[in-house]
Amino acid sequence: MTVKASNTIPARDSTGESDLRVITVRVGNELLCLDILSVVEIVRTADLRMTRVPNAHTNVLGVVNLRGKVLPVLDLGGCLGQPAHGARERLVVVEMGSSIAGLSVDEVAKVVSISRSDLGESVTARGHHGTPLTVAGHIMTFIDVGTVVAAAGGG
Amino acid sequence: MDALEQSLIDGFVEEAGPLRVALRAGVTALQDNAIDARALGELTEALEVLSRNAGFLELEALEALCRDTIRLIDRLDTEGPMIAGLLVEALVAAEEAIEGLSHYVINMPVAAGIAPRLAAALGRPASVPLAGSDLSPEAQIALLGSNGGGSDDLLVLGLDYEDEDDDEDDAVAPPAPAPALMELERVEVVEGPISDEIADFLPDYMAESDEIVERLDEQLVRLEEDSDDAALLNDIFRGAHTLKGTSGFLGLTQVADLTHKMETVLDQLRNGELPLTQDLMDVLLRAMDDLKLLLRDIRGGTLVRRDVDAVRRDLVSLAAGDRPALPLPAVPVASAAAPAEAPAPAGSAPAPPASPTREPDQIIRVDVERVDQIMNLAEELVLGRNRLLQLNAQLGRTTAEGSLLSMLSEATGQMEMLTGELQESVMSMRLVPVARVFSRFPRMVRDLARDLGKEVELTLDDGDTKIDKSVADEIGDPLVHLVRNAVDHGIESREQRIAAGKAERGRVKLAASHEGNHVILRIEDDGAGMDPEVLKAKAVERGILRPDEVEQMADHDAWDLIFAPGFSTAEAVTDVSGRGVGMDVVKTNISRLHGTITIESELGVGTRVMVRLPLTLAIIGGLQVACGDEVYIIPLTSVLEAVTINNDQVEIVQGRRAVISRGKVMPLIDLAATLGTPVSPDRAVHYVVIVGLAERRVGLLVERLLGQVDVVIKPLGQVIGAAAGIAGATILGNGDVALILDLGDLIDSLDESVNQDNASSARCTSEAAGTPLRRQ
Repeated sequence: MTVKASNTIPARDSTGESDLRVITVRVGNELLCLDILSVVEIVRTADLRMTRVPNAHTNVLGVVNLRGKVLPVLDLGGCLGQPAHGARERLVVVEMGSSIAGLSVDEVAKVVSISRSDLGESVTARGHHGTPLTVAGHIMTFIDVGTVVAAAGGG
Repeated sequence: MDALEQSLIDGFVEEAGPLRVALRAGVTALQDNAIDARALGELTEALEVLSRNAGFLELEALEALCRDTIRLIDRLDTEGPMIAGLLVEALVAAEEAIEGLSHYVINMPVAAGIAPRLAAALGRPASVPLAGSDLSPEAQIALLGSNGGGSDDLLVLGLDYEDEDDDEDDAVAPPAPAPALMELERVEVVEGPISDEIADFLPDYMAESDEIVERLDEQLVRLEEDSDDAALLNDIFRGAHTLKGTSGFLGLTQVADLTHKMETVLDQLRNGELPLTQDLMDVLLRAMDDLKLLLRDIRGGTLVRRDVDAVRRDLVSLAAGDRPALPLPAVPVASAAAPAEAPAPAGSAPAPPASPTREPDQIIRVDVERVDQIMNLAEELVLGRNRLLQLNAQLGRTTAEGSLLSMLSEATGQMEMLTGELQESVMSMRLVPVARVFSRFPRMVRDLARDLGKEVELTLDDGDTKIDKSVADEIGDPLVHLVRNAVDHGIESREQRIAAGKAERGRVKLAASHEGNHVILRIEDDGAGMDPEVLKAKAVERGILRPDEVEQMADHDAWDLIFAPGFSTAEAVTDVSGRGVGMDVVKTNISRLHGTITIESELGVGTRVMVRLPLTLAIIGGLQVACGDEVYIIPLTSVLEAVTINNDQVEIVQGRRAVISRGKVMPLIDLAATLGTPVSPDRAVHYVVIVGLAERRVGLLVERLLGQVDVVIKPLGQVIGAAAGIAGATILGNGDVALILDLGDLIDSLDESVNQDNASSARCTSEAAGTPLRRQ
């Protein structure tokens, strides 16, 4: 999972100057990547018992007990405007400032390095901010965890 | 201070050595009344040298002090005992100033403090008949500036600022031959953010100051009642003294100055030089108010110059102005008493600013945060224990390994006990005496009663109860409202009381007592009471209730009307003689603390308000209930009872379900429906958990009761934000997360839906007040 993938972004990443390590995940048919520095850990959804939170935002799937901490879980697909879907096998636990949240995804693919300069202008689509880029021949969207979570949950 | 300056001061102090001996000899001789012309000559000579040297070092305060003292000596012949005491003080002040200099302390608060009095004595024929001196206008003003120096302390302002010297300039250095004439000495204030080195001391300082100020307020009011209590007066004096010392040490000059002036007045009071009058009490209490303002600034981390001159002026004029009115012999006698002790500290190192009253008690101050940390760990431990207990129980059901199992359960039992004790100890660390919450009220009631022209006697009975700090912090405001209402609206005017055959003096009682895991606070008054009929009429008039709704309303429901939003406007309050102002706030705060509030009132006899609060908020007992597959927790502190009901006992009242319990119609909240729980097949039997929050009582319809459990409230966090009806989450013994219900929220949602349902009908908050509902 942590294998560094070769990608189509040319050699500049080997200079290491403005590298950004991202984790790529799949949600529905969409490939996304998030800054690895905001990721705390990845857990299997099956190991956790979800408690529904009534009257919360629809993207809030519930809360789980993560080793004694109450972790809110958000539906990343829902945050990105996708319709509800099945799998949601993994939780990407992310940290934003003092808050922590689990983002449910279908699959965690790999960790890759990209160059910051490859991140162009972010675009707003379907109500969320993201920056499209090509990694390993795939087009994916780089998402800012803080923005997505703020837009989905409390915000 | 640079090296050159230091060496100059060294030289000065060295040279001053013999002069100090002369000063001390002078003091002794004066005290023994054995001073002769030769001794006076030596004294004058010493002072002249001292004055010159001080002038050379630009120590203007000392220079002025010496010169004035010489002038005073010149008048000793004619005025004798009248100025002897002051002379002794002046000499001691000079001596102290030198002592301070030997430690490179160039502030001379004592010297500066005495300067105005010297000036006054030198130019004041009116009060003390002085032969051949004129009464100059400046001298009259100087009377105001006099702030005495009767205290026996050495105030060390350990931080020497450059501009302190300017301060001395302003205060003492005479612009003209007339010495040290000014209205009020300016207090040099370092404005702006508090520096880091002081900030380190600040938490302790604030904690101590708050305590003292709280105590002083209460003690002063007590003093007003019993002016003969010498021990009390001493306590008050020491409180002001301590505050002065610590504030001065931290360079908080405004506080130090104000407390110094208070101290002066208190000292004179203590020595019987001033009579305890109403005016004097008022000035002292006003000084307390200003003090609180100053302390609030300091707490905020920024020093601001505040205009507290009015109070300062009143204090110093009390201290000075009332003096001449006293029998003349009192002056030298009283002043001579101070120097008797003074040489001792003067000879030793400057007195430490530490409080002389601090008892060697067994108390340590700990940051609340640290206690909270331990609390958090204890909470985690509680959760761990819960889990262990549960696993144990499961194991007992599934395994037959007898001896091992019994050992495990023994170990678990011990762990359970220890955890419980730990939890209790940590919790008790956070407990503060209710007496501290109460301490503000004597002052408040006194002021309020005076403003209203009523006579009110406040009785406090804290019953030695203690309460969690967070609860104590929150309950203050609601109590203020309740007590204020009792004095303002409860107690009648003097005329009305006399007409009603009551004692002129109204009584308000504030009491606390324990009841299980709760503290009960009672606010009682022997006032007019509330007339249910008037309240009902008002509710109708304000469109809160319809006339038919109030007809069958019981008295206790009518009293609860005062909590209804929209009921309490200023107009309503005066008309109804009911408590209105801020009752909304009271209710909200008490709900937040998971407390309940009940009112009992008897017309013409009085009103009693009871507030019931949980002892602590962090770890609470919870009632686990289930709706479908979901488990929710109701804070046990709010649970009044749980009953089973059949479907046919549920009445439909105004389109809402309700149930009659103990003769009262109780609105029902269907938890499953409100929380959107997947609906389970209708059962014939439901459980209703009756909960009380503030003044409200409602029933929660649940499917099953699962039992009681200790829970630790964990917030849902910012990510989820607010979820209506949910206060937080906790982790159960089985590892699942269960949500804790926010009863306040749920009850509010009940009102909203009622309002929506009856949008066309009159605005209805009858359920809000727990009043009987109209049957449909």
